[in-house]
Amino acid sequence: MTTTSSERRLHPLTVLFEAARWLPRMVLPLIVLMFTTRGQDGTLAFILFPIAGIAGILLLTSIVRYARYRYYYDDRDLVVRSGLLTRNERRIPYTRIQNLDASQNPLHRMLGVVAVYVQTGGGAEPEATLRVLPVAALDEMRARVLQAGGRTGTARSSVEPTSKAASSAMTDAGVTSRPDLTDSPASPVDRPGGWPAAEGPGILAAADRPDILPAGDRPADRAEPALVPARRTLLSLKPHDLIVAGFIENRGMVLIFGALALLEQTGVTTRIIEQMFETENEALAGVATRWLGGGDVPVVRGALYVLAAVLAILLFIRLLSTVWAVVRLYDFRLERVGDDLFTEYGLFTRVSATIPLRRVQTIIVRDSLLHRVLSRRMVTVETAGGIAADAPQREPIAPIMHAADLPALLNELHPGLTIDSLEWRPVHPRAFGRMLRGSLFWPLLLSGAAYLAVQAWALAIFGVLVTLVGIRARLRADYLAWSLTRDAIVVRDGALTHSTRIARFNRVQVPALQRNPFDIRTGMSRIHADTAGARGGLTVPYLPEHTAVELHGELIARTAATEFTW
Amino acid sequence: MEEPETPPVQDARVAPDPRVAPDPSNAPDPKVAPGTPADGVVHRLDPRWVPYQRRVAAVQSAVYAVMLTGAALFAVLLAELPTVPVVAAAVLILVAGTWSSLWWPAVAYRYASYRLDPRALEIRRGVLWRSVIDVPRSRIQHSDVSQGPFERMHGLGTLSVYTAGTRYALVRLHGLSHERALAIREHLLQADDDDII
Repeated sequence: MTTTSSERRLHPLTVLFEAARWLPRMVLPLIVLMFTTRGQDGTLAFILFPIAGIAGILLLTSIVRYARYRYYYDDRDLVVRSGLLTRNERRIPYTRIQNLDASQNPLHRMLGVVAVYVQTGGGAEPEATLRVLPVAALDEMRARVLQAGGRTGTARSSVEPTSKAASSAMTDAGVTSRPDLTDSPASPVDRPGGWPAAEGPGILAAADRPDILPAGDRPADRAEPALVPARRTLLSLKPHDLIVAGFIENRGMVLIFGALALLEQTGVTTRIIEQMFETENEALAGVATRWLGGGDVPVVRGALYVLAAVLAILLFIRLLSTVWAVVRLYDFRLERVGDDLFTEYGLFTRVSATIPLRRVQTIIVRDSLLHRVLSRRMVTVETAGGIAADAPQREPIAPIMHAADLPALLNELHPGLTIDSLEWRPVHPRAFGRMLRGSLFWPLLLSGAAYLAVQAWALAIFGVLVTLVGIRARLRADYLAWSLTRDAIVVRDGALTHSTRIARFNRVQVPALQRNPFDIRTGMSRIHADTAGARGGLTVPYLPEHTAVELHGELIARTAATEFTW
Repeated sequence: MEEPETPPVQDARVAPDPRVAPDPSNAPDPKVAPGTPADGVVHRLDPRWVPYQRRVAAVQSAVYAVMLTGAALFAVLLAELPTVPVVAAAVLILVAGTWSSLWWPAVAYRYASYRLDPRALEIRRGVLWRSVIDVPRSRIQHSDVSQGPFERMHGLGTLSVYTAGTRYALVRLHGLSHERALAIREHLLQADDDDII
């Protein structure tokens, strides 16, 4: 047991930041109240005192919580103690820690503190939110947790033969190109973590059990210089990359809704809407009559105006999206530090996340039509982890990257994996019919509704819509395919936006074969390879029955032959 | 409610879903251990599972009957809906519901089976939505056996197997005899010990 002298506390500013979390919610209504109850002093006092009382209690709670909060590093666990009346001691084994995320908003940065989120696998597992810590404490935690977690990445990275070559071959905005590694087959031995022997003899097996290392090899016994993990930049995004990313992802509406929500909280929206209705109504009505009903503007020109307005709005949303992407992902970096992935990004709020490579459950490569036109890709990974509700949203490990650099990154995540030269196996030839029938609902509904308004024209509308969903189904049926590699199952799916999901056998938990009534009627089955993680693995739908049974058997055999480690 | 004494399904089909035919994993495994639960043989559920399901369904039907009677009374007396159609609809729902809940367990029984070998626990089930779930032994985090009051009446138990997965984080195998469920769990525990050594 460690003595109390090595116990650590949160930063004293914790109290301030805790207060800052709920204070606006109390103060804003108060301000609104002050304006709305002008001249009625009695009412104000009547409301003010209870609110002040609640605020006082909350402040006191924050202070007590800060004063009682302690954490320390045991040999195997991160121990967090808290509570005044109900004392709580939470032990989080280092080996169970899935991710170590940190977030720093501008105020945090000014004051040199950081909010830290310790995430573990599974929803039922404990997790800890350390808000806020001094920045140095985060560095200490990273070093302690990641080393003690058995990732002896420190020494290995320094002997890794390719690391120097890779960093010198680092390209401007892309992944390091490493042709020497992409073609080399990985070790045939299926290690628990799935990493090839090239990384260092027997390291990973030992990494999972630090206790069985020979004494001289334990991380703690190593000389000091070896403790500095080698860093290698895998991806760094420049502003022009972010502009492209923002344009493609088109999340401008997020900003608009965000702004609206903020206005809603402050009560401004209602005022604006009221004002609009009061003053602008007449002007709007005038414009409308001039455009649509009034004779002085021809209908064609009116339609053009509307079209131009719609285009302008769409463009504006894309523009907002690019701004949002630049703010969110500014100076995005993805690095490999020992056996962990490390990302850092953000203009105002700086977020950093550490993802141990062996925690990666599923790899997903996405490419929309725009991605393909601009030959870019997006890569996300799924990790098993209860993600704290108030933790910052995790960004993809590669929000955008050049398609040419994809093989190098995939090889980094999953050595030996290439998805370009896979032998893709198609699904059932009648999958197209299933997809088409499955997507007839909206055309039928919409043209049915149109029939009430335009009668016979509804048939034409139905034709157009069916053609559209037909094209979509055709594209998807042609693209949908699966493949087995030496150590993983891969499935690609999507009509216009493609996604390729990769799950290693040693990450698959439960292979399942499923058949719904439509499958049973058409002689098809779907295979679901369940993994830990948010979306939980991958699905291969519309397989011919015998193929599905074969694949299922193969999956069981390959999965059961591997060992799963957290 | 009266309990049928004989197992209602007597046909000797072993593969519960005739349309998922030749399963290569069904081939005899050299490592299977006859005499232990990991015998690699496809087993049907305990026949007592059908009367058990019927009893549960009967209790549920009784609850629904009370609720339906209340709703019908409300409709006729307070909402002043016509008596005959309301009563007819209520009776129809009740009869159809009760009949199907008595008939369905026998159908479901025909489509359910399990198989344990040294590699994995395989569970087949479902009539309209069918599934074959394989939980590899190395993926079982822990397992437990539970027995509800109705299960106790029929000597049945439920084996629950926990994995690190998402959709199949918890896989339940209903309709085992309680002894069988305990034996399987015991076997899974022993296998864990072997792995550690």
